[in-house]
Parts: sequence; C-alpha cells; structure tokens
Amino acid sequence: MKLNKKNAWVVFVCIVLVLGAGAAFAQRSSMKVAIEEGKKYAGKTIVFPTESGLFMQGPLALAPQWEKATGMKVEVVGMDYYALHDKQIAEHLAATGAYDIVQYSPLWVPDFIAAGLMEPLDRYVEKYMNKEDLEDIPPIVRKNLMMWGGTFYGLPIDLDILTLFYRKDLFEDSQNKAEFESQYGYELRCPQTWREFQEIATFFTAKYAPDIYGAAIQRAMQTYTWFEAPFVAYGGRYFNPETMEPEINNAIGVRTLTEMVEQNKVMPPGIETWDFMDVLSAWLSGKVAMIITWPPIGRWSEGYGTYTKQLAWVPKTEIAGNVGYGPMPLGRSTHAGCFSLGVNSGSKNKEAAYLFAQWASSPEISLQTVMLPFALCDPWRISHFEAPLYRNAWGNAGEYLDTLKESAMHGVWELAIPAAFEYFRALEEAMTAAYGGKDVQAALDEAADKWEKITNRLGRETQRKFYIEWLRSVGQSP
Amino acid sequence: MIRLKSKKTLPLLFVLPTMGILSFVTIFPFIYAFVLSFFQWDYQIMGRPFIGIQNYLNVFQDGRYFSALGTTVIILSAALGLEFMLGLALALIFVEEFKGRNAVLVMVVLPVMMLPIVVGYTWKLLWNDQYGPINHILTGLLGKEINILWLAKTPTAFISIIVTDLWEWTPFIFLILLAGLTSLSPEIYEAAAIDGASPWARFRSITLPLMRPVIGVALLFRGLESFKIFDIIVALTQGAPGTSTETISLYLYRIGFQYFRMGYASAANIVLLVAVGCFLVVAVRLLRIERGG
Repeated sequence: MKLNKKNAWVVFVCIVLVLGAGAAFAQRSSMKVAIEEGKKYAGKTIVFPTESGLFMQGPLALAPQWEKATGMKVEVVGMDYYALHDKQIAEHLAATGAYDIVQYSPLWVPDFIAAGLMEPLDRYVEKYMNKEDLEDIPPIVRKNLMMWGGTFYGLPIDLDILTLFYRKDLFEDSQNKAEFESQYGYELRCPQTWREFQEIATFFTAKYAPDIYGAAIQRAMQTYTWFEAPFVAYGGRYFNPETMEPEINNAIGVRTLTEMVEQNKVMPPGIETWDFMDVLSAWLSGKVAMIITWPPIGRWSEGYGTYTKQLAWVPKTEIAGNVGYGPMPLGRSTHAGCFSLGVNSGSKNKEAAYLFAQWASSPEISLQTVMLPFALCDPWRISHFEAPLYRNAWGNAGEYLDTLKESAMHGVWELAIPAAFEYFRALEEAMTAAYGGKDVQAALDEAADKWEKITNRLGRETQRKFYIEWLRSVGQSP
Repeated sequence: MIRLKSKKTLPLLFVLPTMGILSFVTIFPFIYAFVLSFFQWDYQIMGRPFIGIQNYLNVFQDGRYFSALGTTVIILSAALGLEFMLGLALALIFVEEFKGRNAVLVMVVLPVMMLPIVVGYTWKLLWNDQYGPINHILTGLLGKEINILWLAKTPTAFISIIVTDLWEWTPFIFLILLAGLTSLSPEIYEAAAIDGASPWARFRSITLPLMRPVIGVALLFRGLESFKIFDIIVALTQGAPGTSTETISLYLYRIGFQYFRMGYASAANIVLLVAVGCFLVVAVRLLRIERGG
C-alpha cells in the first residue's frame, strides 16, 4: 500500500485505536476482564474439585457471585487433602474429563505434570491478566505457586504458612515469668529455638497439666509438614544433590525427629493421633499454651467470624485477646500445603476454567476470600497484608498479618519433585512409627530405603535434575 | 432333534445376559489386569514397556508386601477365631425360644447391616483416649484410672482393629450357624438325652459333627471376606503407627491408586489371588466342605 496523506491518517487512527484499546484493557482489572470474557461461557458448568471440610466453604461462598456475574455455573466437589492429589490424577488417567479446574499444592506439580494433568497457562496470562495484579504477588510466591520450569500453571488462592500461636496471658504472668527464668536462666518469651520450645512446653506442662499442656501439634495426617522446617533450619538436605542419596536419616534428620518425639512427651496424652480439629479444639478451650498450625486458627482465636453458621461447630474461644504470634522456632516456617488453581488439560472448558481461576485470584475477590472467617484461605498478595480492612479486623490483626508476611518471605517450601507425595508419605510412616516407640534412626533408615527405591524406579539422573531445579526455585544452591 | 436342541438352547438364552454382565465386570477386568501385570505401567515413567515377569519378581522381593500379608493373617486369624466362638455361643443361645427373642435377634444383627467405613469411624470415636467411653468404662470397671492410647501404639491398635471387626462381623457368623443349628433334628438330642448324654457330650458328639459343613462355610465366607479388610483400617489407623497395621488390601490400594503403579499393583494382586486360591483349596479339604463330608 502506498503511504500517501490519506493512508497515513488511516494508519495513524488505527494505531491510536489499537493502543487506546490496549491501554484501556491493560487498566482493566483481572477481575473485570475475567467477568467480561466469562460471559461468553454463560450456561456452561465448570467442575471445581477442592479440599473438603472448611476449605470448600470458600469456593461455595464464591461460586454464586461468579454465577451471577457471568451466568457460568460452578460445581464444587470436595474431598480430603490426600484424595485431592490422588483423585485428580486418577480421573485424568482414566480420561473421564470429570474436572475442569485443578486445585493443587506446589509439591504436587511435578506429579500432575507427569500425569499430563496441567494445562500451561502462559497464553491466558498474557492475554487476560492485568500486569499490575501480577506485580501485587511477591516474587517468591509467583515462582513457587504459579510456575514450574518457567511456565505458568496456576493462580494462587492460599498461602499456607505454619505459625506459632502462644498464650500471652500465660507468658506474661509475672509468677510464670519469675519461675521460668529461675529454672531455665532466660526470659519466658515466644520461643526462638526448638530447645526453648521444648523447655517452655515442659515448664507449662509440669506446672498446669492436666488442665493446660505446654504445647500441641497435630501428629496424625501430614505430620511430615512439621519435620520440614526444623530439618531445613538445622541445615538438612533431603538429598545429596550429586548422588541423590537421601539424607533424611543423617544426624540432622535423627535430631529433628528425636526432638519431635520428645515434644510429644509434654503434649496432651494421645497427641500421636491428634489431627487439626483436635488441636483446634484444645487450643480454643484454653487447654494448651502453644500450638504450631495453620493461620486460620489465629483468626478464630479472636472469635473472628465464629458467629457464622459455617463455624457453628467451632468451640467458643476462651482465649480471645490473649494470643500472640510468631514464626516457627529458628525463624523458618513451613509453607504447609498452599493452594493454586490451574486448568485441567482434559477439560472441555479450558478458557472458562482459566477465567474463573483468574477471577478467584484477582486482588478484589482474593481479599474477600482470605478475609472470609470460615474459609481456610490465607493472605498471599502484598495488598492482602496491607489491606486496612484486614489490619483492623480485630485488635492485633496487624501483628497477625505482619507475622504471616515475615514468615512467608522466609518460609520453607515443600519438596516438589516427581513423586514428592510418595517420598513424604514414606517419611510420614517413619515418623508415626517413631511416635509409636520405634527407634528413630531405624525408622528413618527405613524411610531412606523407601526413598532410594522411589529414586531408582524413576531414574536417579532424572530425579537429580528435578531436585536441582527445585533447589534453585526456592533460592538454595545445589 | 429340533425339540432336543431347543431344550438346551432356551435355558442358555436366559442365562446369557447374566453371563455377559458377569464376564464384563469380573472376567474382563481380570484378564486386563493380568495383561497389565507384564507391563511397566507407572504414570511417572514415559511409555508402557513390556517387562515380562519383572513385576512378579519384584513382588517376591517386596518386604512390605509380605509384612502387610502377615498383618492381614494375624488380624484374620484372631478376628475369625473370636467371631466363630462368639457367633457359636450366640447361636446356641438363640436356637432356643425365649421371651423377646425376635427383638433381641434384630439388635444383635444390626452391626452387620452397617457400612464398614461408618463402623470404623464410629469406633474411632469410641477408642479415642480423650473423649471415647472405652477408657472411662474400663476405669469404672477396674476401679483405677485407665488411659490407654488405643490407636497410637501397635499392640493396642491391633486389639482395637480386632474388636471393631468382631463387633461388626460376629452377627454374620452367628446367622449362618443359627440357620445350621435350627436345621438339626431334635430327635437326635432327645435320644441322646434318654441315653444319659450330658449337654457337653451332646454338643461335642452331635452338634459339632453335624454342623461341620455349616461351620466350614461360615469360616470360609468370613475368612475370604476378612482377607479384604480395608475400611476399618483406613478409618482407625490408616495403617499406622508406621505401617504396622497396614493390611494387604490397603497396601495394594496405595500402590495402585495413590502411587499409580498399575502394572506392579496388578501383578501383586494376581499373586495374592493365587495365594488365596491355594488357601481355599486347602481349607475346603481340611473343613471337608464337600458332598457327604
């Protein structure tokens, strides 16, 4: 085409229109874009598998909003945490097309990619995501909750970080302070080390049991989660990056598990079979001086939202106003679980599923979700931690959010290589055996032997490459 | 000739749909699993190479497989023995008429009508050392504080599993034995009583020999079913502490549906099938469950 004066004006106008549309598009939030584009799929239903129990209350509360805004239905399907891993793979391998959304924890990503379950999302992120909304996600979260090998696979909805909660009233009691300091030689405070944790728990149990125990940590399901942080904080490595020999049964691993077995002795009897609900119940009833668990307990400790019907079963808090927060000892807390939403590669509604995920993780909607009293979603955007609405939700909500943010930025990410879940289950078997009385070294040797078998089965060199990639992604050198 | 053919053809036509369905739900999956057992079907590993009998060789080198099998045999033996004794005792009581017999019978049979997973989770609450009534009842009975961590230690976890299984499945054996006892002719007992035989002599020399086929059937049915114990284990212990209470069905479930090693799981299941088949042949001979046995 010859560029004469008339043509030049046409081209100029077209460029302005395109740039203007692009600018307008870029300024539109991810939430609005998702809704606008989602309307194309009005009448369709997307199936969203999620963790059952309290966690699914969040999606159940959100789904009607999305349906009203777009006309797209969301069918929420609940299952327990382990089943969420197993069933999503099983349905995909059987090519049932049962699910559209993939809800995953970062440690499952290599398994899900191996199964062919995860749809790469780069093209959708490029097309629909507001870049400022992406910048609102801390880089470490973006790397570990959204991407694998440089490709986008999911959008975060929950950043779990184990947090230490302690009873300020007991810690600040002048008599307790005097007795503790005279016995142990240092000030009674939120424990900085695992030795301090043990000593403080021992002190409270000796003084107050059976009315109050020094600490409670769930030892049933997912107990490996509480092994990870101290193990890494002590300098432990899961594998030797040169040989892929497991190192969980070395002196650091033995020390970590031995300390956990010792902790059980000053926790309530039967702690070996306690799960999340048991710990929650004991804590809210004022029967425990310290717990290490997921962040929502901090909200419920203050009675935040426990008037809702979804939380009608939660024991009334006896400790509101008396709760302090801190990271796990040694300042390293486990990112225990965490959840992102991806798209199932077998879905017939991939774009629709992506748009729902983008909407759910948008700043506006995700702030709603993390503030929902009965949902288990924890803050993960920079804007969440800084939101005035959240920081004023209860007396020391600001302290709570600052603790979560600080812990999250230095958190211990769970091992994410192929068969990570299988490795952790083997570790969990060793841990429960040790709780049941088996020699710690023998238990960990057995776990290491299982780890070797898994590594050999999948290929040592293959696993080594994944392991080194994972080390780099979490900021550790191989 | 045409009449003779139609005599054979018509019954066959009636039976064919059922045979077709049975073939589809039992024979086809078995053949599929058998074929799969010769391949390395592992979702973590690319391709599905043919590996011959390697999966079978791996089964015989799998210590955890035999450990789970041993756990299953221990639970089966203990539970089956106790269920038989308790079931027989109940049957001997219920074979006689007494006031309210029918109402009590219904209550006795209720457990076997419950779903095993429901039974498992209900008993998990009962065994709870904090809130469960079992420790409280024992405290009351023995007059001293009892705080057993039933599910946290291996020996007591075994007891918990066996008692839970006993509660649920004793009525099953009881019903079979009761049916057998009520079919025995009372004249034999009258004749023995006239001859001066004591109740114990009548039980030992008349009841037990005549009940042998029925006892054999009850033990076989229940034994085969016990081999598959799964729901109660999942609800009570998940195989913990460690894998000390992991039964063979739980272990194979994990291999197949948590680790998705379908080739190996198929081979392991077929080895188990052969083992159980051998056990069945031996058991039938020992129990003399055959025509005129």
